[in-house]
Amino acid sequence: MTPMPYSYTAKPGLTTDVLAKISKFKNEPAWLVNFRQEALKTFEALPMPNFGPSLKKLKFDDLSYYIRPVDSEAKTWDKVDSRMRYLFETLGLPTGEQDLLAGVKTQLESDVIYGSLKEELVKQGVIFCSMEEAIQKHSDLVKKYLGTVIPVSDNKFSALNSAFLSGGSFIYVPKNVKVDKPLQTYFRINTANSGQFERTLIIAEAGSFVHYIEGCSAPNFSSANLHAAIVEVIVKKGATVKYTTLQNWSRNVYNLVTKRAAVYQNAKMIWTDINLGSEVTMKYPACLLLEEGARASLVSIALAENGQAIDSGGKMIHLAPNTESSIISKSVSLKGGLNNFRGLIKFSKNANNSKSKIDCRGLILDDKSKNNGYPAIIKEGTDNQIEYESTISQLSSDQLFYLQSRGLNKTLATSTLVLGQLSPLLKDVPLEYTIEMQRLVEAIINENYV
Amino acid sequence: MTLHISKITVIKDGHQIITNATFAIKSGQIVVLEGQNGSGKTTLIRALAGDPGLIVTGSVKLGNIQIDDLTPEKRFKAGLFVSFQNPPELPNIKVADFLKDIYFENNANSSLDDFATNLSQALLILNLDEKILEKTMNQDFSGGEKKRLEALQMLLLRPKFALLDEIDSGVDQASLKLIAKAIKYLIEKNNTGFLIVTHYQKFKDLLTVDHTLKLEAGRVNAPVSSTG
Repeated sequence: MTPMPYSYTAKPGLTTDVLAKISKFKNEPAWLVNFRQEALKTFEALPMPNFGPSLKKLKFDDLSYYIRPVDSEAKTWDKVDSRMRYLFETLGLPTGEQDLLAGVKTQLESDVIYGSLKEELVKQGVIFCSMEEAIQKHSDLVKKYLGTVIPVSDNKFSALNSAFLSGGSFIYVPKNVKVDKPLQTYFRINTANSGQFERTLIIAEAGSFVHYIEGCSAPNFSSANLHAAIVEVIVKKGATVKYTTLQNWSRNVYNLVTKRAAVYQNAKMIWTDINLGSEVTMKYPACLLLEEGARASLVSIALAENGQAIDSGGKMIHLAPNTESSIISKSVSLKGGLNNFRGLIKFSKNANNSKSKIDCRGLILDDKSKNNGYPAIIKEGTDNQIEYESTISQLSSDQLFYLQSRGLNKTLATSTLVLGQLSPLLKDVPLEYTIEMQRLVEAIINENYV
Repeated sequence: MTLHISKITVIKDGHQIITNATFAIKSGQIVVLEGQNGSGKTTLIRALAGDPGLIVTGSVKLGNIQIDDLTPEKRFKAGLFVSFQNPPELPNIKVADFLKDIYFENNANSSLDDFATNLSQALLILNLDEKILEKTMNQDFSGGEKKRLEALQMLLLRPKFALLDEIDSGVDQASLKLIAKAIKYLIEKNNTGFLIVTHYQKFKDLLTVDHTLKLEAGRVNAPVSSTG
């Protein structure tokens, strides 16, 4: 395949100069130019994480920070560059979006290149666009909320993202509007050595509902790619937001992502986070239960094979009375893969009569693979309920023998049992993603597995 | 066709359970294997089916095919079916999905219609309600249901030889008769040969037994011609 038509690739390295170029290229408002420059200073001042997998292979100076495809956002499918279209079609981008989906946005490299949103949603005032477009057209909204859930200084990678943010989605759902079909985005990293810094911001006004789904993948390049995204979600009084991720980055991507939701009175946040790809993932979707009656749940699924370290889990921070949360994690380690589960439940002094549970199940398919759990529970007040269950197990040899004795080979028997264990966690995942996940899991178990 | 079992010795957890078992089953025959609890009947059946947890020496031939060095699924594909004494629960796996998976894995060129026809006939023979298809594999099943589901798979897959490990235990009288019906059906339609482990005279009385083997102290005694 001939090279993709990129119009601009920044020189490797992270400098105020590159930042200035990005801002100029995108014609950004002064407040954002300033936001970026301050964030870069914060990034330089902050240390690397002192936990989790090794990040030694990450060389910040070798990464280039912004790539712009020639096509900027095309509004209809046939206006998308034919080579890119081919790429998406061979990728198996979920089809049938006309009927099934309210809007699809795909992101090639740093800019969103294709977007559509049903007219009725536009009429109702729903905004679903790239962060770039939002910065231009809805600057006040972006300015009001950007960085309010995840401060720039939260961690080194949140500061990095805040400096170089490029692409990602912006969603605004007005009061009492229910978006009944999921909104979807497909991300993809396509150039070796490129950093990808999506910034996604979702604002669900009181009483509204939205389900956002992202799928991610990347072809394999020899040098490490960095993907450092931020997702901020604001769930106002009585609103519900579901956020579903199917991550299948290629096996050289460093996927270091900060995701957090602010959940207000009687509102509900539901994360489903599926991690199958990447070389290293560090990602712990979090919820701040800020007001009375706020509820949150996280389902975390991870599969790690040879050469992969998936450090995942989640955080639930209870800051108000009568709040409720759960973290359900299922991780599968095979062929020498490593899964770390990190879970944090915190009840502040104000979180009376609140409850939470962590259910953490590790499955190890062979003795080369590892699965660790690092749960933490902090209680500052009294009158809180916490349930905690954790197991690490292997597939039962009797179950495997049973399936094999009915003609399924060991690989098929294994994937059947693994998928059986994952299936109860997939109720918030639409069918086409469930099928894609099943295919991926089968393929991962299949490759040279004996 | 004959299933030849010759000089089979089985070691389980460091103990020799079976010594030099030698016998044969012809197509369409019913051979009963008897023995006290703990005499190694289940171990022998599992060894023949290729349980990877057992150390087995000796020869198993299905017709002209040497199957003793094959994986369990390849033995199955050669025509050998085994029903489990305690079929394991398979969490979150629906009976319908499981049956479809194993049917098409072994009948790749069949249509969905063929599957549906075979399945409804098998359900009918075993007097099983279609509701069972919506249940989870072997979970919250009565003893009779579990064993009838094993028989259902056997009917669906039509093996050349079937090894039934206490398919009559924990089973009520009505289920016993239905399972016997399934066995007779397969002999008649498919000329399947059977090795049946049982404790119950009642079950033997429902079948036409060609031979009875006795397993004692790990040794299979020479077949006794009998009718029960």
